[in-house]
Amino acid sequence: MLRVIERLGRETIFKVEEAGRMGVFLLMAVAGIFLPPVNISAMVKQIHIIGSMSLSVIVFTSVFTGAVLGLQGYHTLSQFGSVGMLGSAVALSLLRELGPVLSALMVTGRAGSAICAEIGIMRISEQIDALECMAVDPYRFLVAPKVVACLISVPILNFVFIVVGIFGGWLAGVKLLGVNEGAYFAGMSKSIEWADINMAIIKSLCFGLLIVWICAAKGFFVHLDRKGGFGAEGVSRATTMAVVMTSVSILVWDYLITSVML
Amino acid sequence: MGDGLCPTSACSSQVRPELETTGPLPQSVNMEPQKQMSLNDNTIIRLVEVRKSFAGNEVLKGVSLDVEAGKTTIIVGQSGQGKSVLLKHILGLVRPDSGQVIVDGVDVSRARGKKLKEVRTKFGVLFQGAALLDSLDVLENVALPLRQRTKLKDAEIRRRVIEKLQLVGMADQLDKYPAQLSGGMKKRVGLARALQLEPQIVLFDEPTTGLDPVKVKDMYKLFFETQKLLKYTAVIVSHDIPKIFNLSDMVAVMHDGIILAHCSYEDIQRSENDVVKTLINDTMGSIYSSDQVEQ
Amino acid sequence: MKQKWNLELSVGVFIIIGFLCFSYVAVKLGKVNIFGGKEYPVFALFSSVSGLKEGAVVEIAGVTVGRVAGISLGKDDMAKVEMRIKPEVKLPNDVIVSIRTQGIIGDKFIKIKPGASDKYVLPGGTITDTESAIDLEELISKYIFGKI
Repeated sequence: MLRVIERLGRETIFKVEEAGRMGVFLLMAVAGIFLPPVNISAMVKQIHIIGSMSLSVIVFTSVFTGAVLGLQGYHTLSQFGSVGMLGSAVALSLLRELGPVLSALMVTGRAGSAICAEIGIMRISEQIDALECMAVDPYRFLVAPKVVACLISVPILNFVFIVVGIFGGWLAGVKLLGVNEGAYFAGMSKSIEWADINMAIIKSLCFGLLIVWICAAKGFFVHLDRKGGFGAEGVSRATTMAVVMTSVSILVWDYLITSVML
Repeated sequence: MGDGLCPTSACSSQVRPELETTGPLPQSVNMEPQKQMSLNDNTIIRLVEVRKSFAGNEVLKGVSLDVEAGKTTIIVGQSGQGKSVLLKHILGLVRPDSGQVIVDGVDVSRARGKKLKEVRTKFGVLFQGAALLDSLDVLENVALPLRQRTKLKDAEIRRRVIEKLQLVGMADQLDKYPAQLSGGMKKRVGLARALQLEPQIVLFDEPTTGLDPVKVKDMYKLFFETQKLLKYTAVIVSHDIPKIFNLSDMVAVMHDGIILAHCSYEDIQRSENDVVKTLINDTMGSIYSSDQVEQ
Repeated sequence: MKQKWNLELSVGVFIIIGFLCFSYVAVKLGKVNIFGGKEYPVFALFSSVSGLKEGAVVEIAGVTVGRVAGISLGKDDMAKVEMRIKPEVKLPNDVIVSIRTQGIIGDKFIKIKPGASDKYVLPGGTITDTESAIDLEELISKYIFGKI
């Protein structure tokens, strides 16, 4: 019985410690952005890795997401005889929910895992220690460019997702099922308000930060993992954990942001 | 320990009885406050009763060690005895649970921010796997300390990088990436990086592990050459006692979280301690046995 | 060097694509007026604007001539609607402004019935000749309970 309580206590202490570590990590990483010398070329490189290289994945997923929205929307709306609403249905669901959430999830899978693995490997091969020994702040040198890149790339990918998704909906709804093209686009522009666009921006910024925060921190602290954060196994476990944690927190935050902003 | 340039025999006779038994260590802790200010003797790194445990597992059980400036100190011990952890304490990468780590008069175990950075500029480190940054080529890796800490022009940085790379014989591999280099080459580049800012102290973490015997010899040759040229204090962590050292170098044997013996290279071979004896037999003994075979 | 150039090019293209997508959403769908300020404001007082939203269209003879920019409570508990009208459209000062619904359950919009006066409403002027929103529910309940 006593042992159970002891274990519970240790678990709690570990979790609180971890939370504190993550918080400090975020602060240091954000502070690292503004510490001179600002490393622009590293940021450009990270935007390339996180943003540009995710573009094809985003385009593919968004075309089909938009198309399936068009398909589903058409069949549901045709029961009420209001197929003209298809445009606004597709656009609103993309703008408010699917665009930010799905693009963030895709970036988590493609770039978040890479961030975690890269930093984790640098940790276990003592590259981060080496940086510290050379009096180079690893937060500024390693993490800050990734934070900036994520905060720029995820909103951009989000808007690419939305626009391509609308195009996908147009393909399925207008070209395939014969909805009036004018109605599709007019309905869209009538129902979307600035607040919706605002929400999409805020969501994708938050998700971008979540991705880089959790993934980078999981890699950065891989050596502190209780189950022995050593070697390739430790990094692979940290990467899996990071992707799962990021995906779940994206959905949780999506709910929270929606409930506050609606 | 007051006399600065003590001959090795005097040093060993003083240090050994105190450390070998590990009992009377609290005394040295009480003495410490006065000593901390008076590092005017030749000691550049001083560890006092350093203890550290990870997840309830005590790795360092009160390590005390003095490293003399200008000399080479070799810390030997089998794997998993806390040698690398000790090295990280000296660098301030890990903070001890108790005890002090004093480098050139600064308590690294309590220093933070700017002060810690200042202390670290005194060090050059060659890590076990060389720890070159995978995303940068050889040139950029060796240039990194210069880029981050000085405001030199690109051409000047390039000149200095090539100068250091020539020292380790790697000047023709400028645009290779670490993944394209062999283990020995990586260590050479790592050494060039460690020496880039001409540090007072250079730490070597297992400099010969994973190298074949010929490369091990090359590595030590390189080490002697660079030390002669740049006159740094060297601390070498190794799992075996290297065979080719100066007799005046100091050897500290680490076992089970404490320093078992700390004395000159010459004296260690005559040690009475069982663990030390086994270690010497295991790592250096082969020389004598092969001699005997020849006879 | 060539590789670096490629990297910067791809990042540049990426950011331009992102900017284009954003501006499409913002201007085309979000109705952000990048040439803003040319449209002039006209106010109208209604006894009820129930269901009218900001951004709703203002029409004359079925042609969109402006949008609703703001709805607030004016004096005497009247709803004060700010409309932004395109500069080329001049409103005679005897127009009648009414709130209508597109279809039965569609969006509310503002319909302006043209007047004949040769004096025009000035920018910032207020139109008081209005017809409020028709409350469908109220109409139905009146019909059901036989008050008509």
